[in-house]
Amino acid sequence: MKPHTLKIGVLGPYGAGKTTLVRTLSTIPAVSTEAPSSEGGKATTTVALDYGYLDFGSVGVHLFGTPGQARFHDVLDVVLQGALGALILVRADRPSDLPRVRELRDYVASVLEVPYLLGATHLDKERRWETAEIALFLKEREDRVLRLDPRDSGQARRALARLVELVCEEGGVRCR
Amino acid sequence: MAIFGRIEDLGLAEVLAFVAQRPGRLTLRDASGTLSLLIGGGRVRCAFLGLDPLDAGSLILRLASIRDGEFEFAPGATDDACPRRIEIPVDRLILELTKLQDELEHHRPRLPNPAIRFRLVRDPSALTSAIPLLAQTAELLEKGANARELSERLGLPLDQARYLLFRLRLMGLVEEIRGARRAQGAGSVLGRLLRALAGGTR
Repeated sequence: MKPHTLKIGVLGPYGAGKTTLVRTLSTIPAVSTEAPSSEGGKATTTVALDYGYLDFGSVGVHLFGTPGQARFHDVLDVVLQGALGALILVRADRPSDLPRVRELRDYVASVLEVPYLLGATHLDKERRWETAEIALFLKEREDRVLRLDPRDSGQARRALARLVELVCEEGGVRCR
Repeated sequence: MAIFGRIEDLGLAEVLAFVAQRPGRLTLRDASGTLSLLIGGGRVRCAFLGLDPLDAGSLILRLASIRDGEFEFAPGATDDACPRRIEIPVDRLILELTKLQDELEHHRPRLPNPAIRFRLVRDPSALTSAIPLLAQTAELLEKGANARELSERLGLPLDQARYLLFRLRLMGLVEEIRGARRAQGAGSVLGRLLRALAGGTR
């Protein structure tokens, strides 16, 4: 373990790619709490949390993924306790998720009060919103909405690097 | 790339507020048809139901009846495509729309049955600027009309036609036509009773 460690939350609606992102980034076998999904689109869903860890430059990063369904919102308080930053995933092909994403963003910004980034996933779909449009809808700075394919370790690491930078600069956290 | 989604997921007011930030064409599709709004400079420049241009009053009434359906917004210049300009600021449109939807929901249990016929009993000209479509409605109501007929003739959703009659009645501009069936030749009570006993229609 590195001398400085950060806890980062990974949030987003159902099926946005949170579990995949934690698995892509983690350098240890990721821990998942999955159960068969009763909703469409995928076979299983996270019911408590996902956990992964990676050494990232001078810091160790603990990744905590949260369940996506709104009914598990209370779990966020527990899983994200002590988190220093958050990555919020949003499916670019499912605009119906945007109100939920806004609620999660507002929760992170107002309740957790930690730096965050939004990662737009499923950008390979033909019908999709662009990152600038997502930013406009959420009244968010465009540079806070990144293209992020959770299966692509390069994109995932770049997004995490940007977030760690924000946490160290804006969050007043000692990273070196 | 167009911005798209379900109206019920984001809410019509939010869709309007969002797309008004850029010029473009907003298309709304629901079970009753396709409504297009050409937007620029934070205003609705003009609107069409299918291919027919709409005035501001008709647009507000039509928007207020949309509960679900699809929307699509194609950004781009719209100035050349408006044969009949209405130029409503989008924020005002949202306010009017929200007000109308609230009023409609509040009064829904008291809206008149779509079959009840009304006729004009007072000159409405002093109120034509305050009530959308009043001039066209008054013309039909001079002879007598019900909500269903107004809906068909004015291209209005039925609930909006019922609400319009409700408001006109509150203001004392219209009254229901009583005995309309008899006047149309249904005959006396005795005659109807005899026909019923003989197995005919009422």
